[in-house]
Amino acid sequence: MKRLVALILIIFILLSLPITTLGKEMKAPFGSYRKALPGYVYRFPRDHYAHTDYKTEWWYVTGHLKDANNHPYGYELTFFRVGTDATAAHRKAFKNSPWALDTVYLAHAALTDEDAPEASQFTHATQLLRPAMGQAGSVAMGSNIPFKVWAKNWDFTQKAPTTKSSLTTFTMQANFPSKKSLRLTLTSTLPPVIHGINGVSQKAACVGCASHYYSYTRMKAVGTVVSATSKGKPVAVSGTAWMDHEFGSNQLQANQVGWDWFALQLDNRQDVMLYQMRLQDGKKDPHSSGTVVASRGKSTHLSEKDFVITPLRYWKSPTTLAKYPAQWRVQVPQQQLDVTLTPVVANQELGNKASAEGAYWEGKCRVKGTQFGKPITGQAYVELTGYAKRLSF
Amino acid sequence: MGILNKASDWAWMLRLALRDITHNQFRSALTVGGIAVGLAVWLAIQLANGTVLSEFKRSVTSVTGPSNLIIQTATGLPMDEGMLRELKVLWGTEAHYTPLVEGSFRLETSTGSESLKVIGVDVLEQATLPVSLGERPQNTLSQQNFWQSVEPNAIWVSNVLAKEHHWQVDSTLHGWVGDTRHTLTVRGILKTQGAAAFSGVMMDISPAQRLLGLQQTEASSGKIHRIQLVVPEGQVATIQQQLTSHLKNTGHSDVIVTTPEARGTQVQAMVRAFQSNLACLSNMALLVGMFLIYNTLTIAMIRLRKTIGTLRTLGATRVQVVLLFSLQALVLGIVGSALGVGLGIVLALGALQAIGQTVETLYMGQPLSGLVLDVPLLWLSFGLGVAITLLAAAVPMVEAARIAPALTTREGKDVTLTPRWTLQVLWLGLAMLAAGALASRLPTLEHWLGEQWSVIPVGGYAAAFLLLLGLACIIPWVLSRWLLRVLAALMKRLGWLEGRLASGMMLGALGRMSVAVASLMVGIALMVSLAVMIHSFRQTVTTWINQTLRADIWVKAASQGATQQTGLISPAVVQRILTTPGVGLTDRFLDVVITVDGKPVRLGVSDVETIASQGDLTFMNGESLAVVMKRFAQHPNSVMVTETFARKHHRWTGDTVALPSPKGPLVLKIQGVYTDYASEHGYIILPRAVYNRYFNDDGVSNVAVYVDPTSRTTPKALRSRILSNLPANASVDIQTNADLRAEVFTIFNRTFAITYALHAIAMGVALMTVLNTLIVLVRESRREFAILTYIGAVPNQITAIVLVQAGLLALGGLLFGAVAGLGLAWLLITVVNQQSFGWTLGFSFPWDFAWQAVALVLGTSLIAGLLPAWQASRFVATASIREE
Repeated sequence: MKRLVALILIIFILLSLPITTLGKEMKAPFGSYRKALPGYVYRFPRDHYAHTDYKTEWWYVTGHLKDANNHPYGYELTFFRVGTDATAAHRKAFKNSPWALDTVYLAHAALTDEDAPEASQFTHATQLLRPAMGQAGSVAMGSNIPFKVWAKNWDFTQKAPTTKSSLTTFTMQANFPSKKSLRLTLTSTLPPVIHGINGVSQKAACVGCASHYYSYTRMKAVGTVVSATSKGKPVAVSGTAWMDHEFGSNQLQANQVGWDWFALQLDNRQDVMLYQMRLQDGKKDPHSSGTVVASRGKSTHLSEKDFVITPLRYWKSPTTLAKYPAQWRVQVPQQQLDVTLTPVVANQELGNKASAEGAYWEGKCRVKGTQFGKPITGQAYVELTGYAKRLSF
Repeated sequence: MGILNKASDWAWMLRLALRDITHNQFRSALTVGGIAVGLAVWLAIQLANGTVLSEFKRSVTSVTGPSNLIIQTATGLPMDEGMLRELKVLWGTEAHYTPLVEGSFRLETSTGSESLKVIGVDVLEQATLPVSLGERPQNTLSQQNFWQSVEPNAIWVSNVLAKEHHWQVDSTLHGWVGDTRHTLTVRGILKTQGAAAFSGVMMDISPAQRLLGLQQTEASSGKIHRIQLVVPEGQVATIQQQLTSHLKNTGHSDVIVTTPEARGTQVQAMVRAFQSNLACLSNMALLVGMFLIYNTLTIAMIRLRKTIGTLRTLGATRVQVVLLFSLQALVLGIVGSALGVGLGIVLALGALQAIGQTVETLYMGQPLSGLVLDVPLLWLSFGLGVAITLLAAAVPMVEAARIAPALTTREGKDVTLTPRWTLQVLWLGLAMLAAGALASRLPTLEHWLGEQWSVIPVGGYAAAFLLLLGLACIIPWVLSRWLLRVLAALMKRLGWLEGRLASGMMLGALGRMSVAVASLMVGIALMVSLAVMIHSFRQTVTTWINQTLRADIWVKAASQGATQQTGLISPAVVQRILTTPGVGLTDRFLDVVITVDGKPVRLGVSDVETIASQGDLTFMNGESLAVVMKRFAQHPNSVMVTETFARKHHRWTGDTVALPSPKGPLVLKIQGVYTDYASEHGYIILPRAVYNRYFNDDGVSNVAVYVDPTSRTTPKALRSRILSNLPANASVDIQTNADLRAEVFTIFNRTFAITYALHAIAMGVALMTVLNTLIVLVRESRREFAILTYIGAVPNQITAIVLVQAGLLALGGLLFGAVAGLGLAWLLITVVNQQSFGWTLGFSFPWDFAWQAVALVLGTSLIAGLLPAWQASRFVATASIREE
């Protein structure tokens, strides 16, 4: 689930044009788009494809890698497909134009290179593209070619399933300034986990203020990384991947300021996803929730009351001056889980001075604590949005 | 041991210099005025030029913004938007790029219309946009929806434009693109900064394509004009090379990868030619200023003779005397230059109006904004003014220093030019004239200094200066050996005493007279040469118009100016025109700018059959149109070109020219070269059938209509019939032959508006020169006047003598001015214009103007002589004689 309000990001990015804008249409979120309603029936691989009748959709991969010399890496690659708020006049006039702005694609990639010198520890890149001239796009549901979403040379592609294997395999690649890059093959070890209740992950009280959200919480990842530690040469890496796919037509509500998302991969092969919607008054929205995935793949829904997340430390971004939580105590009493999450690198913020409004923090963390009274360790990815300064209208 | 060995003595000397200035306010004013006028004219033209250049740069860079590479077709025609797919090779690099379409929107205003530049870009490609990044107008758009701003007909406008027109978000504006009326809505205001900022209308690519008629249709894909790229600075050349070879390998041979600088240079060369013409004239104006300054400073020397004598008697050295003068010249120079700078700025504002119109009309198609004040230039011109004053003062200074103490205590004669000196100067002058003649034969410096020099006729300019200086040097000889002597003899024969005395006195002050005549000469020569050139040009254009504007009615899309690359007339409208009863033969003309050999050229696509039967062109080799057309019929890929093209590209009848076309290079044979003045880029006239075949296009920007002779209708009646036959929303300008002629001459006159300012300058120079010179002469001749009065001359006779002198000066100036002016005109017409613009003009002398000019200069001179004449008659019999 998490990032349910990806559109906000895009609006923020658009805001950093020399033109200022903010959607009046925020108040009428659904338009002609389909709402995410309970009872949705998932089918795979059909649901890997783009659901263009929903307004917003994303494919989101994070994970943890190591090379032959045990250097650790973290990574993020995400593609947003956003059905825009382009007016009816626009849609009608440019129905046949490749430049129509009825859809835009936003892609983010980040690479955390723990063992690199401080300045090179975190690298990120962004692309915002219209799907003209093949520069960005996604394969929609109903197509008979394998699924693919791409932004220029970045892509996330499903490998055509073979009859022999029931495993799902994706490939992905992205690159960064200074010739850094990431190229991985991801293979499922468990079937996808569907979050929420009755096929919807509720984000707010209103009808349709929800999304359809499933994950492969623990995929095997192998491939190559070019980074500062690898001295600009491709090195073989292997590790895990957490893949999310979420689609819906909802928007962030007026009283919601952002969200925190946690994806824990514990060393006992248990995976935990938690998200909390943050309200303007600083409280947690009751529509926050989570999922626990056991090592065999059995999933358990967690409601807002089932977990407690306590920030232990804060970090202030020198770029955007935003103050982010920087260490958490995470407690899930029914699982007797009590762990501390610590970022491996303080600055894993995606943002720059010019577009501070759209900035967010998403980073690799270390997990340490106890479960069932025994010490436990693991790895996590945490996403923090809505901390960078709000627009001052 | 001099007297000036103490600080107090130096202070005294400074006071002396200043007192002379303050006590003789009128003379000081004349001197300062001379310096100021001379400098102001120069500065004004420089400033106006600088503004035009920066405007021009703005018109290029404001659209390219941060881009450092550009992909466009070699023809300059739009390309398929699918070209962007080729840029896949740049994916994964740090290169950003946007497609770009551009055009103009003719905005309806309360006073008429105004042309606005429209660009369409991919607004999501922020890094490539020509508006500065990271800047947002506060609160202007805050409540606006981004998505409204990419609606059809939604625009962003620069804040400059918004302010000028009082537009706000949601303002609507009406106007035309081609022949269609549109209503646009302001959805955003761009915050831009600096003189180089974009000042037009920006749209997202899809609405822009739609507005400009470039969007994808069932028949063809969407079009774009350029792709603008921003690549990392160090990789420009590498990526340029990479893309060039990639595009070549993928079969896009008509597409080039260029830099904004290279793109700018081609057109810039033309602006530079225009500017260097003006700069040349402004330097001549500075020359006039120098003569003027010299003249006026000489007076100061005469006035101070007695003081100098006293100083020298008291032991002042020559150096000290020179210093005294330098001090005075310095003070005058500083005051005059400061005034000159101020006056120059004022004049520049006026000049800008004149030049601006020309440049706007001919080159940029967008209005100029305000004057660009180049501060270093202001300081430079101030320094120049002071330096020139000191330089011009050097001669009288040396004269003053030479004065022997004994002589100066008496009012004396000027140190005149000796016959030997006169002769030496004569030889020098003749040598300069010979050098000038040689310089005029020089080719341009293109070969040595590069392409951008191809349009700057350095030899022509050098010849012009040598001509003026050379003639100035032979003036003393002609005056002393010939003109004044002949006049004196003539007066004697006529028995006109006043006249004889007048010429005698002038002969006695030969040096000063020569300078005055030279100064008049330069002023008059400027006026004459320009008059001759403009007249010749006008005559030639008239002949040309008679030959080429033969159709009865001309139709063009309404959004464009007459000389602009025109917008297109939609096929439906063309069809209606062709089918209107009474329409006989037609020529559907398409006018586009293309690039041949890296230079812009106008491609004219024409129904040559109509030209063949109705036209009349003058071919360079004397062939008739019929002969050329016969060859056209025989050879499938034939073109004819204008002389301007032929000269610039060194291709003449029988040569071939290769045009970049979507189907690869199209090799065409030149069947004729004809004279034409429509564009200095030159025209290639291509038969429509060939164009259709190779370019897959049937665009029409003008239609020339001949009245069907059997229909018994008049052009005027046919014009209204065509108008009523057109669709209601069509906006085309339909002009009859007479209207169009009038418009052509309006543009012509506007183009040369600046040059009329030089007439006023020539008058001013005449006034100042005569006034100054005669004041000096009268003062020097006090004793003569006194003696004349003593022996019975009445004040009226004295007045007559001075006025005759004024007349003689004017006559000398006119005589030399006419010679120099005709010489300059010849240079301008046959050397400068041909090298700069590739135009051949017939030489034609403006007799009407000539008589007016003679009367004007004589009249001005006599009026200028009144003051010295009155002075002379007043001080006779008073102070002067007492000294005897």
